[in-house]
Amino acid sequence: MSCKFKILSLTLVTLFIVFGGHELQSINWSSYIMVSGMGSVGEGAGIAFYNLDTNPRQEMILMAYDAPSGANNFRYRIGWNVGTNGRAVSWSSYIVVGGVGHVGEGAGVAFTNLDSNSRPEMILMAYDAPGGANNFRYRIGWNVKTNGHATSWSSYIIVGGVGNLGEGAGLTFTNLDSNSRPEMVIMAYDAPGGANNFRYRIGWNMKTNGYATSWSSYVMVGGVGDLGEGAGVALANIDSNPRPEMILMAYDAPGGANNFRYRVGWNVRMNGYATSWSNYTMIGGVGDLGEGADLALVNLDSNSKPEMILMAYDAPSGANNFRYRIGWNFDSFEISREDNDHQFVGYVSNEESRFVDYVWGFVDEFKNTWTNSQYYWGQCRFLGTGHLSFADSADLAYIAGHGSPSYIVMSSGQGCSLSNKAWGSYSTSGRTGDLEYIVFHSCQVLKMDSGWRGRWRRYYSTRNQPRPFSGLHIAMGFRTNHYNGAGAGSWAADEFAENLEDGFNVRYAWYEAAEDARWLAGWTGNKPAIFYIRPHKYETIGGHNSQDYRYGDSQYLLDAYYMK
Amino acid sequence: MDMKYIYVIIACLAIGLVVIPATGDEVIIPSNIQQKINTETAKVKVRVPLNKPFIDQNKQLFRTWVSGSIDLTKATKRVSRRFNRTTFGQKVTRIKPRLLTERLKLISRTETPTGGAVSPVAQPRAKVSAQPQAKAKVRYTSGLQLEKVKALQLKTPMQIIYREGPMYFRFQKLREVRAEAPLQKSVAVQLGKNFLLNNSFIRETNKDKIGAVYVQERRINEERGERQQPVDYLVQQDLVFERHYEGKPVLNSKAVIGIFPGTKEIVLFKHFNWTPLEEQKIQKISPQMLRSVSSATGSEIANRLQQKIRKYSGKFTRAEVKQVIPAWFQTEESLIPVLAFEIFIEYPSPKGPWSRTYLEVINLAGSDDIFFKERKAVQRPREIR
Repeated sequence: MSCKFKILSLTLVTLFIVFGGHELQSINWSSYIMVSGMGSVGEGAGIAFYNLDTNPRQEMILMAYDAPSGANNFRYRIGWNVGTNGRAVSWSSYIVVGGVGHVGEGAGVAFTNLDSNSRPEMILMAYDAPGGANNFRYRIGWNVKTNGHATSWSSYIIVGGVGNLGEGAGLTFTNLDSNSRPEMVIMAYDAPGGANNFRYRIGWNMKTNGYATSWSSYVMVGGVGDLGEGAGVALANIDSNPRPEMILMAYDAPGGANNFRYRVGWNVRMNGYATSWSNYTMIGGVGDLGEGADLALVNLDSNSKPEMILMAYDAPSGANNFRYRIGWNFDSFEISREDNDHQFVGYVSNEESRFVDYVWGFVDEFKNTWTNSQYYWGQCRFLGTGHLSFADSADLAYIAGHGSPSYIVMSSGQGCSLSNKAWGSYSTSGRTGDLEYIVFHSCQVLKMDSGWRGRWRRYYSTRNQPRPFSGLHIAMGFRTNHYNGAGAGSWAADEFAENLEDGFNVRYAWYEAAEDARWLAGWTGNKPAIFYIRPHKYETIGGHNSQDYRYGDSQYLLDAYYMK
Repeated sequence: MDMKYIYVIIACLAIGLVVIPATGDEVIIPSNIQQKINTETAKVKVRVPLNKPFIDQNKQLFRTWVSGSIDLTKATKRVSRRFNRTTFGQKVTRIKPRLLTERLKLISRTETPTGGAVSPVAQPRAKVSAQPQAKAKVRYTSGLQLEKVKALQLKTPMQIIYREGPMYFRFQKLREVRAEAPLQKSVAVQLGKNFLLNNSFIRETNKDKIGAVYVQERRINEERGERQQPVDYLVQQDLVFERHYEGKPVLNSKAVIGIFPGTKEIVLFKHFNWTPLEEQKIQKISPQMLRSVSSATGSEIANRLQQKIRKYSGKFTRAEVKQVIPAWFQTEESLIPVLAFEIFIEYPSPKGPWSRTYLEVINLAGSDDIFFKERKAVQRPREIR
């Protein structure tokens, strides 16, 4: 074997250990690709894919709702024959289409075929913002030719808006009902004071003249932040259920760099409502300031799973530009199906009445803030075989019973080993696990001996075995014995609930509650420990819908905060 | 059947009835422990009233101190449904470190206390308008004498919490910094005592003193990656002060100062149930008075203890009282005498017998409900198939 070959072999082995050995199931995101913009100020932007020419590769259409002084106008460019790497072979110069007003708070572009002509229609929409209530306004470019120009343009059609202030808007076409005519979905990212929300309306059975037969009232879906600089909507079927999924995305704009955040509405029914909504997934943005954003699902490569394209119309000083990222092979497994309620459960071992005191202490207080969905005598299956119906059906579980390292007695004779349990959205292939926080009000369950991490998180050697941190954010308990003393147990439980309500982050809420109660327990034991996945370190209960982590994610790092 | 066999059976059953509890959930109170219980309960007991003007003065004192970090007029506010207390919260991006060496500035006033010679400790030193009978000698300004420390600009907002009840104060910055080394325990304790005493957060007398001081470490054990050694580091030292009155612990009085060891910055300050006393006005509780409100004899106390152990400790196989600790408990009115018991207890489990030691407390001057009077009636969980 030559020296070069040895080095090559060694490199390959190393690469396998570093990358191949991990369960790298996350979507692989490209860095952003930049395309020149079409002006200095935009008030919305959109992206669409359609095959306009005879080449089998699709075209990418990027649109900006340009906002010079006076009336706005739509401007779009065509990226011809987008390759498997997500880049167009060439770009057209931009084409201008008259706008629909002077101020827009979002815009979108979509293709569909409305008439009997085989050429598609291009629909350009802006969320017009006169004083008072906004409204959607769209124009139809009839029978777009192979050069990307429409044969003719309709005047604009107005559809009632969904609020007074929008921070993004989008549109898409789909067929939701049994009628063969398509539905048009228009969405705005409404921005009242405080948190934003998505609001969409459905235009049922679009007629050949471009008008909907009827319009639904708006459907509201929780947003993904307080400030957006663009938003989009897409529909596609990404799971095995025949009903389509709706993806709502906003380009969130906290201080500093922006980021994309999307939610998935699973299996949209014939009435236009999703069966359930995922938490939001966050993807790194492409700049600090956006003047429009959108998303598209398209298949670019040979893999049958579609790619997700996230685009923002970046607005540095001077001319704007489009920046898009490609998420390769978008998979339903990537999206958590956790619900968005605020539920918690309480389980009590029947071995001592003080355990009732502990759990009730928490349940009684915290139910003022969240919903208590289960308060049961404990059973091992609540954490094991039945976890999806029990512990994993809620966001927080509070459990009391006799404990030892990674072990709890859920009821007389039912000792329950915890190191072979998995909780959280990655605990099942369906990603339906809901649990974020779990409390073991027990002796030593969170003991920090030399093997504690191996019992709680996955490693390469245990990557295919269940472990508690499978999307779980934080586990709390005691690393030592826990003494009730003159009421330290129930006191701590009450204080924990109060601390959560008062905005302590979850980790501190438990530590402080346990520490406060130690005076009643004689000082020797009751030393709290909190295990958490690092990105959840400062999480309050308000952030329980944040992204989950699993083995293979670079941030899947298990830390402990504890009393020595 | 011959009657003598029946007598034997009855006798055996009778013996059995006596013996069975000893082999099941037995609570053993050794004779020396029972003797000590008898001795303690036979003593004339006293209540020591709180010096009530100080309750409001402490509040003023704390409000003055926390005003250096949190603006209570702008902070969010939540009134607890259960406890008599309010929590204020504020997010800040600019903070001034609060140091252990910080002192509240006192401004002397010209008037002198009325009512003749009074103990300088029992006499309130801080002006509080809510209690007109509390004549003040000095008052605190609204400003603080802060060491010259540079304000820090934080990258991300930090939450500051202030929680306040009549005898409950908690100040906390939800922030942590990695420390290179702990502050030496004796130094930390001395600095902490100076802070408490010199700023009058605690007022010692000959009888009412700081007792044991514990130094607890908060640490983070941080993962460095799958094949790398984790890093374990200190982020905070908590100085926990116990209170003793006449040499006996006051179980629910507690002061905690949490600091960053490197900078001695205070990031946590808790002060629970530590109100100065009117020591000259102690109230004797005669055995007759006690009998009217509580079981008072040694054997009655032992019975209450056994019932309590059985009620809260459930299916144990054995419990033994190892130690009796005479102590106090601060209520909203006074210090009351209690007995704390160290109990060793053993349970069956699928993994073999487990044991632990814990504290139980009996109020010698009334009901045990005072230990957690905010507690509501407990609802039992549901059985699910």
